Amino acid sequence: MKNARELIRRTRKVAGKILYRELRKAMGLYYLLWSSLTLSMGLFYSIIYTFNLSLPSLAFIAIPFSIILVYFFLSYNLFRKASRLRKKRRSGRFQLIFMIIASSLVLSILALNYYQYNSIYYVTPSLVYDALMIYIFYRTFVRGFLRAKIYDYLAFTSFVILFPISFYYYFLDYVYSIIWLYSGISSILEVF
Amino acid sequence: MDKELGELIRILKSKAIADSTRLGILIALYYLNDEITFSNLRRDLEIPKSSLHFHLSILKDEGLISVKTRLTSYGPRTLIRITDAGRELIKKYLDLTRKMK
Repeated sequence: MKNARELIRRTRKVAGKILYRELRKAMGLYYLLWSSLTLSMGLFYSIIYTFNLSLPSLAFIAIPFSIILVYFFLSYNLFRKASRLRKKRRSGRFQLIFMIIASSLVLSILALNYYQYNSIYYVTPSLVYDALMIYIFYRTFVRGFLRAKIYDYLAFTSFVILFPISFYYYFLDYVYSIIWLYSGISSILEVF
Repeated sequence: MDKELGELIRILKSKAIADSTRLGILIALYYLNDEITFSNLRRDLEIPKSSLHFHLSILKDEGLISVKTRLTSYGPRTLIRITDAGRELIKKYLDLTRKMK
């Protein structure tokens, strides 16, 4: 009985070590992935303006959204692991949350295009997006397996504060991208 | 309670999972529910290649994991994944340990 208890204790330690490192890596990749979004978008618009490409107006919406969809698909795959480390599996609810997150971002960008002079239409979806980011933080670091480090707080706090304002001041996109780049590198370096 | 304790001890006595490293690997694979590379697992556990190979051979022989070498974007990698039999065993183990608590 004592041996069995000792085996269970040591087993927990081994499994915890593997899971912690794998999830830290996943979080690091998640930060790095989203830190490159501003760069991807910047590259897209730079190519258009540099070469004076005349794209149909639909392409101006479709291409950035396709880029964002790729980012969400990759994020979903990274977060799937974290969502499994819970007492009960709720993958259906998890997929729904991800869909709401994606659509609130899409809505805020769409609203910015159509209602530039009425801020309520795009501030509201971006605040919904913010709220869901806080929820992801809560599920990953408070109720989840990982413990938040200073760079996790830095990444989420900077995003939640700067994201809604970045629709007015574009340079803020670069500020939180750099913070996320730092968080991504720190997170990955912790396990290598 | 005694029946559950007996069942748990019986599971823990089986050769494949009578060792904390092997059981730990299986539990981690169960939760990750994804492939993990041999090199990543070795780095995570910080154990020599030969030891990890030994543990994985036992788990593979018992049909609890599958080990495949595949060409990935990083080059050829040995990928480890939990099998259905492994998943069933860990599910049972976790249920029993939860009840014992």
